[in-house]
Order: sequence, then C-alpha cells, then structure tokens
Amino acid sequence: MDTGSDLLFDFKNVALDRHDKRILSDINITANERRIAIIGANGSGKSSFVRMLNGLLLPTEGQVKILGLDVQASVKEIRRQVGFVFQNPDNQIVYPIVSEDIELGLKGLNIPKAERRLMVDEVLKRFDLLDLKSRSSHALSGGEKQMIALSSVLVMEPKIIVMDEPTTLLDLRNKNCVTSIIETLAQSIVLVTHDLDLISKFDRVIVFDDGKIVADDTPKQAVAWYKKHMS
Amino acid sequence: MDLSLYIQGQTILHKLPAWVKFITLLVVSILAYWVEDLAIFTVAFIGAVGLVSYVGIFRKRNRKVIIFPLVMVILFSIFSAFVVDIHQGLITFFRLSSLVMLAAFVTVTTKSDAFMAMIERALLPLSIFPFIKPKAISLTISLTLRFIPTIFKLGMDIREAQAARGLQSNPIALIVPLIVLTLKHADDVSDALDARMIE
Repeated sequence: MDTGSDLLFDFKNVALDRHDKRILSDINITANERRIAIIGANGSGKSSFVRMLNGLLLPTEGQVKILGLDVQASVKEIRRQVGFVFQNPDNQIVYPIVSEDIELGLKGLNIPKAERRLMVDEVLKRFDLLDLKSRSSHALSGGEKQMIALSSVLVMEPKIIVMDEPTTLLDLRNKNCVTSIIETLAQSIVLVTHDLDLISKFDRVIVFDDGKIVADDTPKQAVAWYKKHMS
Repeated sequence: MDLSLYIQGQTILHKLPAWVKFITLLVVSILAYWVEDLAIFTVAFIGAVGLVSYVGIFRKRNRKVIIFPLVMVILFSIFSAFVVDIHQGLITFFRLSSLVMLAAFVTVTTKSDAFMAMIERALLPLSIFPFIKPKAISLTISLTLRFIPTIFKLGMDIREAQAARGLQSNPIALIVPLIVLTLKHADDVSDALDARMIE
C-alpha cells in the first residue's frame, strides 16, 4: 500500500486523556528512522504513546498520522501496517495451538487456507521454530511464547513493528535470542524498553517523563540525559 | 493443566473432516442407548480400543486424556453391577468406555481451528438472528479453551503469594484478587485482539 509519505509517524499537538486523567500532552514529533527506542520511567506515558501508533488509543486532542494515514480515519489500514508485540505474550496468543494462533490474523485477510499454512510454516522456519508448530501454546516457555507472538505479527508482513517491553519477562538466554532477532528484522521498529544496552545500536531514542517528551536524540546522548535526570 | 489435547499425526483419521467425526460420535452415542446386547458392545469396545491405540492415546504422555474418564466409568460400572446385576454392570462399562474412547479419539485428532470452523458453519443458519454471531461464538470458545489454564495459573500464583505471607487457604482472599487480575488480563487480551485485527 502506497501511503504517499515517508514518515513513520507524525504527531501534531497531541494530548491523551484516560479515565479523566491527562496521560500525554504537547506531543509534537515526526520520525522516519528504522530503529526508534522509547525509554522513560514507569507511568511516564511511553506505552500509551506507542499504543497510539497502532490505533489502540486515539488522541483526545491533536492529530496522529502513521505512514501518512490519519489514525482517527484509517485505523484498520494502520493496524494492517503496524504490528504490535506486547510485553506479556500470554495476552497475545489466543489460540490453543501454535500454528493456529499464527494463522489467525491471516484469516481476516481472506488468504486461501493452503497459502496461509505455507506462510505460517515459512515464518516458523525463519526462526527455527517449526518443531513448536503443533504444540500447545500455553505450555511453551516464556521465550518461546514471545517468539510465537513475534511470529504472529511478522506473518502479517507489517511495515512497522511496535514492541512494548518485549524482553522484560525473559531470562538472559531468551532475551538475547529475541534481541538478536530484533536486530535482523527488515521492518521499522519502535521499541519501548528499560534495557538501555538493547538500544545502543538504534538510530534514535525518545525519552518520556510525566506524559511529555523530554529528550530526543542519539542513543548515547539520550541515555546520558536519562541517566543524569532520572537516577 | 492442559486443555489442548490434540495429538499431532498424519493418519487418515486425523485428516477426516471434523464434522464427519462429530456426526459419527453423535450417531454412535444415540445408538448406544438403543442397544442392550453385550456381544455388540464387546465388539464396539474392541474397535474403540483399536482406534485410540492407533492414534497414540495410550502412550505415556497422552494418557491423561483418557485415564480420569475411564476411572469414572469403572467406578460407575461397579456401582451399576452392585445395584442391578453383573450383566448390567458389564453393559454399562462397555457402553460408556466405548463412548469415552470414541470422544477422546475425536478430541485428539481434531485441531481446535477445525472444531471452531465446524461450530461456525453449524451456527451459520442462526445468523439470521442479529444477536447470534457465529464467528464471535467460535472465538469465545477458543479463548475459553486457551485461557482456562492461564487463569488457573493466576489462581495458583495468588495462592502461592498468600501462602508465602502466611495466609491460610481462604476462598474470599483468593477470589477477589483473581477477579481483579482476570479483568485486567481480559483488558490486555482485548487490546491484543484489536492490534491483531481480530473481531
């Protein structure tokens, strides 16, 4: 789909209220980098910000455009283009068998069954997960679940992948595994994380505090700012 | 706790359409209550044992599917033999165990998406009523199967945390946080369904 814009996202004077409380305010930002990280303290508004990238939350004020599409008017198209990986894969995996869960999103795209199954096999093969294909999804390890959640997003071939603390619940081995996969993905990545080592190779880091963007720089500069002001 | 009972396989029985297996199970279940002949039940029992052995239910890691229902059938049959007579006890045993094995066979050879698709198709005629949405019903069943173990684990975690703090087993103390956590979990799942464009 040609959206006629190079910008990944474009926020103009955006504010967000939830339960009568202002969560985000004065958000003005555009981005077109391939690797963008979002950091900030708990409750700073970073998860709410990335939820707007997928239309899970809509702005109370201002305008949000993703790949040139207005999030208020084109939420379905935006969700087709923006995959979302949640912190807890247990919330994201909805079918009891791994292959069925990965195939689920494809059903909505009216892709023939045989082609869907081929796409599922391809994505599992890519991450060396074919042996999990017929396994019970809830019985997998945390790392395997996160890999399956990521596969279920990648099979939809999105242009942008938003990840909300995808390594927080993982042990070191699984964290390293997910991290190395993130590095190889061709899609644009917007990553929310508390892991400052993970973002050292990113193109841009945005720091949130109290619902506002307080720093926006290279990883080195932004992390230095964050450590200085937040510790 | 595992509600996903599918056993991977490439047998012709795995490949049979789900509706064929379910209709067969339904018809056999009805017929089983018309027949009272011990010889017929013995043959049915041997056939059912053959079917479940063929798909691997008696293998060590799959046995859990069948053990508990069969134990219940045996207890019920013994009760029946005591209350009526041995002949009736045997009829009860062969009838129920054959049905239990046939049901287990259908369960372990049918993937949940095939099961959901069958439910959707079966409910399709009822979609003339605006409040009946076959897709939503099949997704609800799927979510139930998927999340019962998760909610069970939430309960175990709460109980463990309470035990660590010295709290004795108390249903109220378990239920309240479990409801709160389950609602929060439902909220997160709803977000995930939206993000994956599943309606």
